[in-house]
Amino acid sequence: MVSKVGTFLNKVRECLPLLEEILNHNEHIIPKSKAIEYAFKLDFVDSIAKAEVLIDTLLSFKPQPILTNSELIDNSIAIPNQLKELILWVTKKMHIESSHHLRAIIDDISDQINLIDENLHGVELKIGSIHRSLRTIDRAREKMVNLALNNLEAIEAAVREIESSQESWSLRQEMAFELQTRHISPMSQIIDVSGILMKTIHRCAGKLREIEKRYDLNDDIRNTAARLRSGLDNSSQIVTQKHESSMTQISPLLEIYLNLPSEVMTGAIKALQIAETTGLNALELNSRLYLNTWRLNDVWDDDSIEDLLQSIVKYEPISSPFEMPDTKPEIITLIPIYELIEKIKANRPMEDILQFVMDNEENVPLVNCMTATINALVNFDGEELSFGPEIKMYNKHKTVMEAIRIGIK
Amino acid sequence: MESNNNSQIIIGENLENSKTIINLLLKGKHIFSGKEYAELKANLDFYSKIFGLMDLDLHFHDMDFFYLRKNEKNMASSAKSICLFFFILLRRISIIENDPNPDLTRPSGFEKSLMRVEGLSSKDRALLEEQKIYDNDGIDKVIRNMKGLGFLLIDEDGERIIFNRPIYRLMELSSDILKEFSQKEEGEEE
Repeated sequence: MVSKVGTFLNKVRECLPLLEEILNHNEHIIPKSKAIEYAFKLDFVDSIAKAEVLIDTLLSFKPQPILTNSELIDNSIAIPNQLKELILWVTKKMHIESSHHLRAIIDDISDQINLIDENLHGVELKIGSIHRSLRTIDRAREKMVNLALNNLEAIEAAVREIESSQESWSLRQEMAFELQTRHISPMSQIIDVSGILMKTIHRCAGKLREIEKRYDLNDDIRNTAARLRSGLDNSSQIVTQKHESSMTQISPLLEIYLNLPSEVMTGAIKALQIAETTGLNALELNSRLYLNTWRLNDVWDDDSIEDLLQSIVKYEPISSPFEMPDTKPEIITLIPIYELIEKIKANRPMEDILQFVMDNEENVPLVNCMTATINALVNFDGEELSFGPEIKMYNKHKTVMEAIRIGIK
Repeated sequence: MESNNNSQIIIGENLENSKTIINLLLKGKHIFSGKEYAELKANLDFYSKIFGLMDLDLHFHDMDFFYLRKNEKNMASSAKSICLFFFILLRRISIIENDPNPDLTRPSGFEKSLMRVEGLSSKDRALLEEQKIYDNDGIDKVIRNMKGLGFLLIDEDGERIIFNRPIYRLMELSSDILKEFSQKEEGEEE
Protein backbone atom coordinates (compact mmCIF):
# COMPACT_ATOMS: atom_id res chain seq x y z
CA MET A 1 0.00 0.00 0.00
CA VAL A 2 2.84 2.36 0.92
CA SER A 3 4.52 1.77 -2.43
CA LYS A 4 1.19 2.41 -4.20
CA VAL A 5 0.81 5.71 -2.37
CA GLY A 6 4.41 6.54 -3.27
CA THR A 7 3.70 5.78 -6.95
CA PHE A 8 0.57 7.87 -6.80
CA LEU A 9 2.40 10.86 -5.25
CA ASN A 10 5.25 10.54 -7.73
CA LYS A 11 2.78 10.63 -10.62
CA VAL A 12 1.07 13.70 -9.15
CA ARG A 13 4.44 15.36 -8.77
CA GLU A 14 5.51 14.38 -12.30
CA CYS A 15 2.33 15.80 -13.85
CA LEU A 16 2.12 18.83 -11.60
CA PRO A 17 2.37 21.49 -14.36
CA LEU A 18 -0.58 19.87 -16.13
CA LEU A 19 -2.62 19.58 -12.91
CA GLU A 20 -1.84 23.17 -11.98
CA GLU A 21 -3.04 24.36 -15.39
CA ILE A 22 -6.34 22.54 -14.87
CA LEU A 23 -6.67 23.98 -11.38
CA ASN A 24 -6.26 27.47 -12.84
CA HIS A 25 -9.33 26.96 -15.02
CA ASN A 26 -12.87 27.79 -14.03
CA GLU A 27 -14.41 24.99 -11.95
CA HIS A 28 -11.16 23.09 -12.50
CA ILE A 29 -12.53 21.65 -15.73
CA ILE A 30 -10.95 21.83 -19.21
CA PRO A 31 -11.73 20.27 -22.61
CA LYS A 32 -9.88 17.01 -23.13
CA SER A 33 -8.09 18.45 -26.19
CA LYS A 34 -6.70 21.28 -24.04
CA ALA A 35 -5.54 18.77 -21.43
CA ILE A 36 -3.67 16.84 -24.14
CA GLU A 37 -2.07 20.11 -25.25
CA TYR A 38 -0.85 20.80 -21.70
CA ALA A 39 0.34 17.21 -21.31
CA PHE A 40 2.44 17.60 -24.44
CA LYS A 41 4.34 20.44 -22.73
CA LEU A 42 5.57 18.12 -19.99
CA ASP A 43 9.30 17.34 -20.17
CA PHE A 44 8.87 13.60 -20.51
CA VAL A 45 6.16 13.82 -23.21
CA ASP A 46 7.52 14.24 -26.71
CA SER A 47 4.49 13.46 -28.89
CA ILE A 48 0.75 14.09 -28.98
CA ALA A 49 0.17 10.34 -28.96
CA LYS A 50 2.12 10.02 -25.69
CA ALA A 51 0.16 12.97 -24.27
CA GLU A 52 -3.13 11.20 -25.07
CA VAL A 53 -1.85 8.00 -23.43
CA LEU A 54 -0.82 9.97 -20.36
CA ILE A 55 -4.26 11.56 -20.00
CA ASP A 56 -5.89 8.10 -20.27
CA THR A 57 -3.42 6.74 -17.70
CA LEU A 58 -4.26 9.54 -15.29
CA LEU A 59 -8.01 8.91 -15.77
CA SER A 60 -7.63 5.29 -14.72
CA PHE A 61 -4.72 5.57 -12.30
CA LYS A 62 -4.66 3.11 -9.39
CA PRO A 63 -5.23 3.23 -6.44
CA GLN A 64 -7.05 6.43 -7.27
CA PRO A 65 -7.62 8.37 -10.53
CA ILE A 66 -5.61 11.55 -10.82
CA LEU A 67 -8.01 12.97 -13.43
CA THR A 68 -11.69 12.32 -13.93
CA ASN A 69 -14.17 12.79 -16.80
CA SER A 70 -16.28 15.86 -16.07
CA GLU A 71 -19.90 15.14 -15.25
CA LEU A 72 -20.86 18.71 -16.06
CA ILE A 73 -19.33 19.23 -19.51
CA ASP A 74 -19.04 16.62 -22.22
CA ASN A 75 -15.62 15.57 -23.44
CA SER A 76 -13.96 17.53 -20.63
CA ILE A 77 -11.85 16.42 -17.75
CA ALA A 78 -11.54 17.62 -14.18
CA ILE A 79 -9.48 17.04 -11.08
CA PRO A 80 -11.16 14.90 -8.39
CA ASN A 81 -12.20 17.03 -5.42
CA GLN A 82 -10.26 14.95 -2.94
CA LEU A 83 -7.08 15.57 -4.92
CA LYS A 84 -7.24 19.35 -5.11
CA GLU A 85 -5.89 20.01 -1.61
CA LEU A 86 -3.12 17.49 -2.13
CA ILE A 87 -2.08 19.09 -5.40
CA LEU A 88 -2.08 22.54 -3.83
CA TRP A 89 0.02 21.21 -0.96
CA VAL A 90 2.51 19.46 -3.22
CA THR A 91 2.66 22.53 -5.44
CA LYS A 92 3.34 24.78 -2.50
CA LYS A 93 6.04 22.45 -1.14
CA MET A 94 7.64 22.14 -4.55
CA HIS A 95 7.60 25.84 -5.22
CA ILE A 96 8.95 26.79 -1.86
CA GLU A 97 11.71 24.22 -2.08
CA SER A 98 12.69 25.03 -5.63
CA SER A 99 15.93 26.92 -5.04
CA HIS A 100 17.97 23.79 -5.79
CA HIS A 101 15.96 23.26 -8.98
CA LEU A 102 16.74 26.80 -10.02
CA ARG A 103 20.41 26.20 -9.32
CA ALA A 104 20.27 23.05 -11.47
CA ILE A 105 18.69 24.99 -14.34
CA ILE A 106 21.40 27.64 -14.09
CA ASP A 107 24.00 24.85 -14.15
CA ASP A 108 22.32 23.55 -17.34
CA ILE A 109 22.60 27.00 -18.94
CA SER A 110 26.23 27.16 -17.86
CA ASP A 111 26.95 23.74 -19.43
CA GLN A 112 25.37 24.88 -22.69
CA ILE A 113 27.51 28.04 -22.69
CA ASN A 114 30.60 25.84 -22.36
CA LEU A 115 29.37 23.66 -25.24
CA ILE A 116 28.78 26.72 -27.45
CA ASP A 117 32.22 28.04 -26.52
CA GLU A 118 33.85 24.73 -27.46
CA ASN A 119 31.99 24.80 -30.75
CA LEU A 120 32.82 28.40 -31.58
CA HIS A 121 36.50 27.94 -30.81
CA GLY A 122 36.92 24.29 -31.72
CA VAL A 123 38.40 22.77 -34.79
CA GLU A 124 35.05 22.04 -36.30
CA LEU A 125 31.97 24.35 -36.10
CA LYS A 126 28.98 22.14 -35.31
CA ILE A 127 25.98 24.29 -36.22
CA GLY A 128 23.47 21.64 -35.15
CA SER A 129 25.04 21.45 -31.72
CA ILE A 130 24.89 25.24 -31.30
CA HIS A 131 21.21 25.19 -32.31
CA ARG A 132 20.48 22.51 -29.74
CA SER A 133 22.32 24.48 -27.07
CA LEU A 134 20.34 27.64 -27.88
CA ARG A 135 17.07 25.70 -27.70
CA THR A 136 18.10 24.15 -24.38
CA ILE A 137 19.01 27.56 -22.99
CA ASP A 138 15.67 29.01 -24.13
CA ARG A 139 13.72 26.21 -22.44
CA ALA A 140 15.85 26.61 -19.32
CA ARG A 141 15.12 30.36 -19.37
CA GLU A 142 11.36 29.73 -19.37
CA LYS A 143 11.64 27.18 -16.57
CA MET A 144 13.90 29.52 -14.62
CA VAL A 145 11.34 32.34 -14.75
CA ASN A 146 8.47 30.07 -13.76
CA LEU A 147 10.43 28.48 -10.96
CA ALA A 148 11.65 31.77 -9.55
CA LEU A 149 8.24 33.45 -9.72
CA ASN A 150 6.43 30.47 -8.23
CA ASN A 151 9.05 30.20 -5.53
CA LEU A 152 8.77 33.86 -4.57
CA GLU A 153 4.99 33.71 -4.51
CA ALA A 154 5.10 30.57 -2.38
CA ILE A 155 7.43 32.32 0.03
CA GLU A 156 5.10 35.33 0.21
CA ALA A 157 2.19 33.01 0.92
CA ALA A 158 4.19 31.20 3.61
CA VAL A 159 5.01 34.48 5.35
CA ARG A 160 1.36 35.54 5.26
CA GLU A 161 0.45 32.15 6.69
CA ILE A 162 2.85 32.65 9.59
CA GLU A 163 1.48 36.13 10.16
CA SER A 164 -2.13 35.02 10.35
CA SER A 165 -1.34 31.89 12.34
CA GLN A 166 -2.74 31.49 15.82
CA GLU A 167 0.20 29.34 16.85
CA SER A 168 2.42 30.32 19.75
CA TRP A 169 5.10 32.91 19.26
CA SER A 170 7.91 30.39 19.54
CA LEU A 171 6.36 28.08 16.95
CA ARG A 172 5.82 30.94 14.50
CA GLN A 173 9.37 32.04 15.13
CA GLU A 174 10.63 28.56 14.30
CA MET A 175 8.58 28.63 11.09
CA ALA A 176 10.02 32.04 10.19
CA PHE A 177 13.59 30.93 10.88
CA GLU A 178 13.13 27.81 8.78
CA LEU A 179 11.65 29.82 5.94
CA GLN A 180 14.47 32.32 6.13
CA THR A 181 17.35 29.85 6.37
CA ARG A 182 16.09 27.04 4.14
CA HIS A 183 14.28 28.95 1.43
CA ILE A 184 14.62 32.73 1.37
CA SER A 185 18.37 32.95 1.91
CA PRO A 186 19.31 30.26 -0.65
CA MET A 187 16.97 31.81 -3.23
CA SER A 188 18.26 35.31 -2.53
CA GLN A 189 21.84 34.11 -2.95
CA ILE A 190 20.89 32.88 -6.43
CA ILE A 191 18.71 35.79 -7.57
CA ASP A 192 20.56 38.75 -6.00
CA VAL A 193 22.32 41.13 -8.41
CA SER A 194 25.68 39.57 -7.52
CA GLY A 195 24.23 36.04 -7.44
CA ILE A 196 24.85 33.05 -9.67
CA LEU A 197 21.76 33.75 -11.84
CA MET A 198 22.87 37.18 -13.03
CA LYS A 199 26.47 36.04 -13.45
CA THR A 200 25.33 33.16 -15.65
CA ILE A 201 22.95 35.36 -17.67
CA HIS A 202 25.73 37.92 -18.26
CA ARG A 203 28.08 35.15 -19.31
CA CYS A 204 25.43 33.69 -21.58
CA ALA A 205 24.65 37.14 -23.09
CA GLY A 206 28.36 37.56 -23.84
CA LYS A 207 28.47 34.24 -25.64
CA LEU A 208 25.28 35.05 -27.57
CA ARG A 209 26.77 38.39 -28.67
CA GLU A 210 29.76 36.45 -29.90
CA ILE A 211 27.43 34.30 -32.04
CA GLU A 212 25.67 37.41 -33.33
CA LYS A 213 29.02 38.81 -34.49
CA ARG A 214 30.15 35.59 -36.15
CA TYR A 215 29.39 36.27 -39.79
CA ASP A 216 30.55 32.79 -40.73
CA LEU A 217 27.34 31.56 -39.05
CA ASN A 218 24.04 31.74 -40.90
CA ASP A 219 21.46 34.47 -40.19
CA ASP A 220 19.05 32.02 -38.68
CA ILE A 221 21.37 31.04 -35.85
CA ARG A 222 22.55 34.62 -35.32
CA ASN A 223 18.91 35.86 -35.13
CA THR A 224 18.05 33.06 -32.71
CA ALA A 225 20.98 34.14 -30.52
CA ALA A 226 19.80 37.78 -30.64
CA ARG A 227 16.25 36.79 -29.68
CA LEU A 228 17.52 34.56 -26.90
CA ARG A 229 19.73 37.34 -25.52
CA SER A 230 16.77 39.71 -25.47
CA GLY A 231 14.61 37.02 -23.87
CA LEU A 232 17.26 36.41 -21.20
CA ASP A 233 17.40 40.15 -20.49
CA ASN A 234 13.65 40.26 -20.02
CA SER A 235 13.61 37.12 -17.93
CA SER A 236 16.35 38.34 -15.61
CA GLN A 237 14.52 41.66 -15.21
CA ILE A 238 11.22 39.93 -14.42
CA VAL A 239 12.89 37.67 -11.84
CA THR A 240 14.93 40.40 -10.15
CA GLN A 241 11.96 42.79 -10.02
CA LYS A 242 9.73 40.11 -8.53
CA HIS A 243 12.46 39.25 -6.06
CA GLU A 244 12.81 42.89 -5.02
CA SER A 245 9.08 43.38 -4.62
CA SER A 246 8.72 40.11 -2.68
CA MET A 247 11.52 40.98 -0.33
CA THR A 248 10.11 44.48 0.20
CA GLN A 249 6.81 42.92 1.20
CA ILE A 250 7.99 40.06 3.36
CA SER A 251 11.08 41.48 5.04
CA PRO A 252 9.19 43.75 7.48
CA LEU A 253 6.81 40.90 8.31
CA LEU A 254 9.58 38.40 8.84
CA GLU A 255 11.71 40.85 10.75
CA ILE A 256 9.23 40.75 13.64
CA TYR A 257 9.73 37.02 13.99
CA LEU A 258 13.44 37.05 13.39
CA ASN A 259 13.87 39.45 16.31
CA LEU A 260 14.74 37.44 19.34
CA PRO A 261 12.05 37.57 21.99
CA SER A 262 12.97 38.99 25.37
CA GLU A 263 14.25 36.73 28.13
CA VAL A 264 11.02 37.42 30.02
CA MET A 265 8.85 36.35 27.07
CA THR A 266 10.96 33.26 26.38
CA GLY A 267 10.89 32.39 30.08
CA ALA A 268 7.10 32.69 30.23
CA ILE A 269 6.67 30.52 27.15
CA LYS A 270 9.19 28.01 28.52
CA ALA A 271 7.30 27.94 31.83
CA LEU A 272 4.05 27.19 30.02
CA GLN A 273 5.69 24.44 27.97
CA ILE A 274 7.00 22.83 31.16
CA ALA A 275 3.59 23.20 32.82
CA GLU A 276 1.92 21.61 29.79
CA THR A 277 4.31 18.69 29.53
CA THR A 278 5.47 18.01 33.09
CA GLY A 279 2.84 19.82 35.15
CA LEU A 280 2.71 23.14 36.92
CA ASN A 281 4.27 21.74 40.08
CA ALA A 282 7.55 21.17 38.23
CA LEU A 283 8.03 24.94 38.21
CA GLU A 284 7.97 25.13 42.03
CA LEU A 285 6.27 28.49 41.86
CA ASN A 286 5.47 28.50 45.57
CA SER A 287 9.11 28.79 46.44
CA ARG A 288 9.86 31.28 43.66
CA LEU A 289 7.24 33.90 44.41
CA TYR A 290 6.81 34.63 48.09
CA LEU A 291 3.62 36.52 48.73
CA ASN A 292 3.11 37.50 52.32
CA THR A 293 -0.04 36.44 54.06
CA TRP A 294 -1.86 37.99 56.93
CA ARG A 295 -1.52 35.04 59.27
CA LEU A 296 2.04 33.95 59.89
CA ASN A 297 2.57 30.74 61.80
CA ASP A 298 -0.67 31.51 63.64
CA VAL A 299 1.29 33.82 65.89
CA TRP A 300 0.65 37.11 64.17
CA ASP A 301 -3.07 36.78 64.13
CA ASP A 302 -5.29 39.82 63.73
CA ASP A 303 -5.25 40.67 67.43
CA SER A 304 -1.47 40.43 67.68
CA ILE A 305 -1.05 42.70 64.69
CA GLU A 306 -3.51 45.12 66.18
CA ASP A 307 -1.61 45.15 69.47
CA LEU A 308 1.62 45.91 67.69
CA LEU A 309 0.09 48.64 65.60
CA GLN A 310 -1.59 50.19 68.61
CA SER A 311 1.69 50.30 70.46
CA ILE A 312 3.29 52.16 67.57
CA VAL A 313 0.47 54.61 67.12
CA LYS A 314 0.32 55.37 70.81
CA TYR A 315 4.04 55.95 71.02
CA GLU A 316 5.16 59.51 71.70
CA PRO A 317 8.22 60.13 69.56
CA ILE A 318 10.46 63.09 70.63
CA SER A 319 13.64 61.47 71.94
CA SER A 320 13.05 58.37 73.99
CA PRO A 321 13.99 55.09 72.32
CA PHE A 322 11.43 52.48 71.43
CA GLU A 323 12.71 49.36 73.12
CA MET A 324 12.17 46.13 71.32
CA PRO A 325 13.33 42.68 72.37
CA ASP A 326 16.41 41.23 70.71
CA THR A 327 15.05 38.20 69.07
CA LYS A 328 11.95 36.88 67.44
CA PRO A 329 10.89 34.34 70.08
CA GLU A 330 10.72 37.02 72.76
CA ILE A 331 8.18 38.98 70.87
CA ILE A 332 6.28 36.45 68.89
CA THR A 333 5.64 34.27 71.94
CA LEU A 334 4.24 36.87 74.30
CA ILE A 335 1.05 35.78 75.98
CA PRO A 336 -1.74 38.35 75.95
CA ILE A 337 -2.13 39.08 79.69
CA TYR A 338 -5.80 40.01 79.57
CA GLU A 339 -6.67 36.71 77.93
CA LEU A 340 -4.53 34.80 80.44
CA ILE A 341 -6.32 36.39 83.40
CA GLU A 342 -9.63 35.39 81.90
CA LYS A 343 -8.41 31.81 81.38
CA ILE A 344 -7.17 31.55 84.97
CA LYS A 345 -10.51 32.83 86.27
CA ALA A 346 -12.38 30.35 84.10
CA ASN A 347 -10.31 27.40 85.36
CA ARG A 348 -9.98 28.24 89.04
CA PRO A 349 -9.40 26.68 91.44
CA MET A 350 -6.01 25.30 90.44
CA GLU A 351 -2.97 24.17 92.36
CA ASP A 352 -0.25 25.28 90.02
CA ILE A 353 -0.90 28.31 87.82
CA LEU A 354 2.51 28.25 86.10
CA GLN A 355 2.04 24.61 85.16
CA PHE A 356 -1.40 25.51 83.77
CA VAL A 357 0.12 28.29 81.65
CA MET A 358 2.92 25.99 80.44
CA ASP A 359 0.42 23.33 79.43
CA ASN A 360 -1.80 25.79 77.61
CA GLU A 361 0.92 27.65 75.72
CA GLU A 362 2.91 24.90 74.11
CA ASN A 363 5.09 27.08 71.91
CA VAL A 364 5.90 29.72 74.49
CA PRO A 365 9.30 29.40 76.21
CA LEU A 366 9.39 28.77 79.94
CA VAL A 367 10.70 32.21 80.80
CA ASN A 368 7.80 33.88 78.96
CA CYS A 369 5.30 31.62 80.69
CA MET A 370 6.82 32.64 83.97
CA THR A 371 6.70 36.37 83.16
CA ALA A 372 3.14 36.15 81.87
CA THR A 373 2.05 34.24 85.00
CA ILE A 374 3.57 36.82 87.32
CA ASN A 375 2.00 39.68 85.34
CA ALA A 376 -1.37 37.96 85.48
CA LEU A 377 -1.16 37.22 89.21
CA VAL A 378 -0.65 40.89 89.98
CA ASN A 379 -4.27 41.34 89.00
CA PHE A 380 -5.54 38.95 91.71
CA ASP A 381 -6.08 39.62 95.38
CA GLY A 382 -3.27 38.03 97.45
CA GLU A 383 -5.84 36.23 99.55
CA GLU A 384 -7.07 34.31 96.55
CA LEU A 385 -3.65 32.83 95.96
CA SER A 386 -1.91 29.89 97.66
CA PHE A 387 1.88 29.70 97.84
CA GLY A 388 4.10 26.65 98.12
CA PRO A 389 4.98 25.28 100.39
CA GLU A 390 7.55 23.53 98.23
CA ILE A 391 9.90 24.90 95.58
CA LYS A 392 9.21 23.18 92.30
CA MET A 393 11.46 22.48 89.31
CA TYR A 394 9.75 23.52 86.06
CA ASN A 395 11.08 22.08 82.81
CA LYS A 396 10.15 23.14 79.29
CA HIS A 397 11.95 23.13 75.92
CA LYS A 398 15.16 22.03 77.69
CA THR A 399 14.96 25.05 80.00
CA VAL A 400 14.77 24.40 83.72
CA MET A 401 13.67 26.96 86.32
CA GLU A 402 13.07 26.78 90.05
CA ALA A 403 10.03 28.57 91.43
CA ILE A 404 7.61 28.43 94.31
CA ARG A 405 4.36 26.78 93.35
CA ILE A 406 1.46 29.27 93.24
CA GLY A 407 -2.16 28.21 93.10
CA ILE A 408 -5.50 30.01 93.13
CA LYS A 409 -8.59 29.27 95.19
CA MET B 1 15.82 58.25 62.16
CA GLU B 2 18.68 56.39 63.70
CA SER B 3 19.27 53.11 65.47
CA ASN B 4 21.78 52.30 68.15
CA ASN B 5 21.78 48.52 68.13
CA ASN B 6 19.63 45.55 67.28
CA SER B 7 17.54 45.76 70.39
CA GLN B 8 16.83 49.46 70.21
CA ILE B 9 14.68 50.93 67.52
CA ILE B 10 14.23 54.66 67.47
CA ILE B 11 11.14 55.98 65.78
CA GLY B 12 11.55 59.00 63.57
CA GLU B 13 9.32 62.01 63.71
CA ASN B 14 7.40 61.40 60.49
CA LEU B 15 5.81 58.06 61.13
CA GLU B 16 2.30 59.12 60.37
CA ASN B 17 1.32 56.15 58.22
CA SER B 18 3.03 53.35 60.10
CA LYS B 19 -0.17 51.48 60.81
CA THR B 20 -1.22 51.56 57.18
CA ILE B 21 2.26 50.62 55.95
CA ILE B 22 2.63 47.62 58.24
CA ASN B 23 -0.91 46.57 57.52
CA LEU B 24 -0.44 46.72 53.75
CA LEU B 25 2.91 44.93 53.75
CA LEU B 26 1.67 42.17 56.02
CA LYS B 27 -1.22 41.66 53.64
CA GLY B 28 1.28 41.11 50.86
CA LYS B 29 0.89 44.48 49.13
CA HIS B 30 3.83 45.89 47.22
CA ILE B 31 4.36 49.56 48.02
CA PHE B 32 5.67 51.64 45.16
CA SER B 33 4.05 55.07 45.37
CA GLY B 34 2.21 57.55 47.55
CA LYS B 35 2.79 58.77 51.09
CA GLU B 36 3.30 55.24 52.36
CA TYR B 37 6.13 54.71 49.89
CA ALA B 38 7.77 58.04 50.89
CA GLU B 39 7.53 57.24 54.57
CA LEU B 40 8.80 53.70 54.08
CA LYS B 41 11.78 54.89 52.08
CA ALA B 42 12.63 57.60 54.62
CA ASN B 43 12.43 55.18 57.56
CA LEU B 44 13.70 52.01 55.94
CA ASP B 45 15.92 51.04 58.86
CA PHE B 46 13.08 51.32 61.35
CA TYR B 47 10.66 49.31 59.28
CA SER B 48 13.28 46.70 58.40
CA LYS B 49 13.86 46.10 62.10
CA ILE B 50 10.17 45.96 62.90
CA PHE B 51 9.68 43.26 60.28
CA GLY B 52 12.95 41.58 61.21
CA LEU B 53 11.42 40.94 64.62
CA MET B 54 8.67 39.05 62.88
CA ASP B 55 11.26 37.08 60.93
CA LEU B 56 10.25 38.86 57.76
CA ASP B 57 12.56 40.58 55.33
CA LEU B 58 11.46 44.00 54.13
CA HIS B 59 12.92 44.00 50.66
CA PHE B 60 13.66 47.10 48.61
CA HIS B 61 13.72 46.08 44.95
CA ASP B 62 16.12 47.67 42.45
CA MET B 63 13.09 48.84 40.50
CA ASP B 64 12.08 51.05 43.42
CA PHE B 65 9.36 49.27 45.37
CA PHE B 66 9.01 47.49 48.71
CA TYR B 67 7.58 44.13 49.69
CA LEU B 68 7.92 41.55 52.42
CA ARG B 69 9.52 38.20 51.86
CA LYS B 70 10.57 35.23 53.88
CA ASN B 71 13.04 32.45 53.27
CA GLU B 72 10.57 29.66 53.29
CA LYS B 73 8.00 28.04 51.05
CA ASN B 74 5.17 30.33 50.15
CA MET B 75 1.98 29.93 52.09
CA ALA B 76 -0.11 32.03 49.73
CA SER B 77 -1.96 29.68 47.40
CA SER B 78 -2.52 32.56 44.98
CA ALA B 79 1.16 32.60 43.92
CA LYS B 80 0.66 29.80 41.38
CA SER B 81 -2.44 31.40 39.88
CA ILE B 82 -0.75 34.77 39.61
CA CYS B 83 2.33 33.32 37.89
CA LEU B 84 0.18 31.27 35.53
CA PHE B 85 -1.94 34.30 34.65
CA PHE B 86 1.22 36.28 33.92
CA PHE B 87 2.77 33.57 31.70
CA ILE B 88 -0.42 33.07 29.72
CA LEU B 89 -0.92 36.81 29.29
CA LEU B 90 2.62 37.16 27.91
CA ARG B 91 2.10 34.35 25.44
CA ARG B 92 -1.20 35.93 24.37
CA ILE B 93 0.48 39.30 23.87
CA SER B 94 3.16 37.69 21.69
CA ILE B 95 0.47 36.13 19.51
CA ILE B 96 -2.16 38.87 19.38
CA GLU B 97 0.16 41.87 19.26
CA ASN B 98 2.87 40.09 17.26
CA ASP B 99 5.42 41.44 19.67
CA PRO B 100 8.15 39.22 21.14
CA ASN B 101 9.40 41.97 23.37
CA PRO B 102 6.46 43.98 24.69
CA ASP B 103 6.99 46.84 27.12
CA LEU B 104 5.11 45.43 30.08
CA THR B 105 5.26 48.68 32.01
CA ARG B 106 3.79 50.80 29.22
CA PRO B 107 1.32 53.35 30.62
CA SER B 108 -1.42 52.28 28.22
CA GLY B 109 -1.34 48.77 29.65
CA PHE B 110 -3.01 45.81 27.98
CA GLU B 111 -6.55 44.92 26.97
CA LYS B 112 -8.19 42.89 29.71
CA SER B 113 -10.03 41.08 26.93
CA LEU B 114 -6.74 39.33 26.04
CA MET B 115 -7.44 37.11 29.02
CA ARG B 116 -11.10 36.27 28.44
CA VAL B 117 -11.68 32.53 28.63
CA GLU B 118 -13.42 32.39 25.25
CA GLY B 119 -10.29 33.72 23.50
CA LEU B 120 -7.81 31.44 25.22
CA SER B 121 -6.40 28.32 23.63
CA SER B 122 -7.47 24.93 24.94
CA LYS B 123 -3.97 24.51 26.43
CA ASP B 124 -4.26 27.79 28.33
CA ARG B 125 -7.71 26.89 29.60
CA ALA B 126 -6.53 23.45 30.74
CA LEU B 127 -3.71 25.02 32.77
CA LEU B 128 -6.08 27.52 34.38
CA GLU B 129 -8.54 24.75 35.20
CA GLU B 130 -5.75 22.97 37.06
CA GLN B 131 -5.75 26.02 39.32
CA LYS B 132 -9.56 25.83 39.59
CA ILE B 133 -10.02 28.83 37.32
CA TYR B 134 -12.89 27.80 35.09
CA ASP B 135 -14.40 31.04 33.81
CA ASN B 136 -13.99 34.79 33.48
CA ASP B 137 -15.03 35.26 37.09
CA GLY B 138 -12.09 33.12 38.13
CA ILE B 139 -9.75 35.17 35.96
CA ASP B 140 -11.19 38.41 37.34
CA LYS B 141 -10.51 37.12 40.83
CA VAL B 142 -6.83 36.63 39.95
CA ILE B 143 -6.74 40.15 38.47
CA ARG B 144 -8.32 41.59 41.61
CA ASN B 145 -5.83 39.66 43.73
CA MET B 146 -2.94 41.02 41.68
CA LYS B 147 -4.40 44.49 42.03
CA GLY B 148 -4.64 44.02 45.79
CA LEU B 149 -0.99 43.02 45.92
CA GLY B 150 0.03 46.05 43.88
CA PHE B 151 1.11 44.22 40.72
CA LEU B 152 -1.38 46.06 38.51
CA LEU B 153 -4.04 48.71 38.18
CA ILE B 154 -7.30 48.49 36.30
CA ASP B 155 -8.25 51.56 34.27
CA GLU B 156 -11.38 53.58 34.94
CA ASP B 157 -13.37 51.75 32.28
CA GLY B 158 -12.30 48.42 33.69
CA GLU B 159 -11.08 47.45 30.21
CA ARG B 160 -7.31 47.63 30.54
CA ILE B 161 -4.81 46.34 33.03
CA ILE B 162 -1.73 48.43 33.67
CA PHE B 163 1.25 46.87 35.35
CA ASN B 164 2.97 48.59 38.24
CA ARG B 165 6.68 48.36 38.99
CA PRO B 166 6.27 45.29 41.23
CA ILE B 167 5.59 43.32 38.04
CA TYR B 168 9.39 43.18 37.77
CA ARG B 169 9.23 40.39 40.34
CA LEU B 170 7.26 38.25 37.90
CA MET B 171 9.48 39.31 34.99
CA GLU B 172 12.56 38.23 36.94
CA LEU B 173 10.84 34.98 37.83
CA SER B 174 10.30 34.26 34.10
CA SER B 175 13.95 34.96 33.33
CA ASP B 176 15.06 32.76 36.22
CA ILE B 177 12.92 29.87 34.98
CA LEU B 178 14.41 30.24 31.50
CA LYS B 179 17.98 30.19 32.82
CA GLU B 180 17.42 27.35 35.23
CA PHE B 181 15.57 25.03 32.89
CA SER B 182 17.82 25.81 29.91
CA GLN B 183 20.83 24.89 32.04
CA LYS B 184 19.10 21.68 33.10
CA GLU B 185 18.36 20.79 29.49
CA GLU B 186 21.92 21.55 28.42
CA GLY B 187 23.17 19.37 31.26
CA GLU B 188 20.92 16.51 30.18
CA GLU B 189 22.07 16.82 26.55
CA GLU B 190 25.72 16.60 27.62
